Amino acid sequence: MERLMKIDRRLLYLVSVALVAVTIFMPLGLPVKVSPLAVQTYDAIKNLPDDSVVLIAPMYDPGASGELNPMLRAILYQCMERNYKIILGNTNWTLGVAIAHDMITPIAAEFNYVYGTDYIEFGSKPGGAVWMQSAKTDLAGAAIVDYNNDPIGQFPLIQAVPTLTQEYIAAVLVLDCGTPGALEWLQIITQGTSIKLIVGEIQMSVPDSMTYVQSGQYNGMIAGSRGGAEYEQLVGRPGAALKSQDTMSVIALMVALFIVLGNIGYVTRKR
Amino acid sequence: MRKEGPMILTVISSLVVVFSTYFFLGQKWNLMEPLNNWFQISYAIALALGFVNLSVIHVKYIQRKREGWFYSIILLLCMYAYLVLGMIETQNGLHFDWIYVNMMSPLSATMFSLVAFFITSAAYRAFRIRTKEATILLVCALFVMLGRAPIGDAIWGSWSAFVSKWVMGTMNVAGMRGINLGIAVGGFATALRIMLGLERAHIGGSGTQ
Repeated sequence: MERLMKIDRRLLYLVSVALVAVTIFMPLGLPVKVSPLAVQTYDAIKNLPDDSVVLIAPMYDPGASGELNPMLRAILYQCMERNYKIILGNTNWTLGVAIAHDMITPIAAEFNYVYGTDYIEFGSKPGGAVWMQSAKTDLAGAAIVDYNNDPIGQFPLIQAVPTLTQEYIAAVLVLDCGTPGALEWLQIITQGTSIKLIVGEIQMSVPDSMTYVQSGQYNGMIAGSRGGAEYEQLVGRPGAALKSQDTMSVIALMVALFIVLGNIGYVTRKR
Repeated sequence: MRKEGPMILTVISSLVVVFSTYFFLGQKWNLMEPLNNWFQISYAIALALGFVNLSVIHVKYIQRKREGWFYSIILLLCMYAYLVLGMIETQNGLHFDWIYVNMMSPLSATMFSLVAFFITSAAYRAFRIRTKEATILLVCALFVMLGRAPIGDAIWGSWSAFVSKWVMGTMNVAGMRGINLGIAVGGFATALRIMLGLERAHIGGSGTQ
């Protein structure tokens, strides 16, 4: 029985890979129930006034794209179905805007969104929280050029949104995996205003962010891969997050099983 | 003046921030604007300084043939080649952008993917019911882990979601709020000490006074 405590880690790796491969090719099709939190988040975006301008900040890098890409895709679809104007960009997460650019371009074409009028990408700007403070009072001055390096002040959407204040934007949607992230947007842009703050979090950050959801400072949260799957169902666009739930399930079960086995070995050894 | 100068600058800067955050006149005059610009400029200078510092350190490694000196050569080659390319092509240059997106993206994703295997292995080895507290932690972790995946619903039905939600929304939030409040109060106290010149570690002092 003591052997159960000393299972070779390579065996764990092998079983993990095998289970991932099996569930990709032979999905279990487990149903994913939609949680009240996902519905609250969906409604918060859905109930924004018509023609609202929303700022979407993909504050992540490819490491978190597995969890956050499906959320970004679902949010983009929801916003474009509601005809919201979209300002897309971030500060300090250079690869996040590259990922988002690849994602928004085909979706915008699908909805006949015109660049510069219906949506704009300001790219990634250095400075973090300090950049946000500058953008709050002068967006064009802080961004200077867009994702394609063209002067951003020439675009009608930026002319219509001179500052990141409640007079011009209705919501900030942050896909968050670190610092700077949703907390900086809260502290600098949305706190004390009517601007809604909706976040998409990687599972690891959910425990911390849950406090801000309960206090009402975050108006909604898409929580981890499971949250992404729930959101895809709400938007009616099933995608990668929903597909990944079977894999999530078997890996969680496998880890739980190995933990139990390890503890059986531990308890019997003590006796 | 080597120590007094930075301290005076720190006090003035912090007073400007406090005045422009908490006072109506400070907000009206937008005193933060020039300070933000200075920060961005200082940030760029610090980056250049870091670049020089990194070069000096790794040139020394190569000269002394320290263990892994070959990697220092790769680092310097990549760093300077990319700098030159960036200066020629500018920020959105075709090759400059291509290299960053197509090398950094897969490397970053690979690093994060490896974590999944380490977490699996670490969870198996670390979660042992050594004490009562460890047992409570283990049970909560199992419920949350399975409750956050559809398999939890399949095994326990709606009870799984309820337990998972209660652990995350009640127990976790209570703990996290306590931690966050502690951090906030600690941060405020440290800021006050820096403003009053009692904390000097950032200017190369002995730390506290």
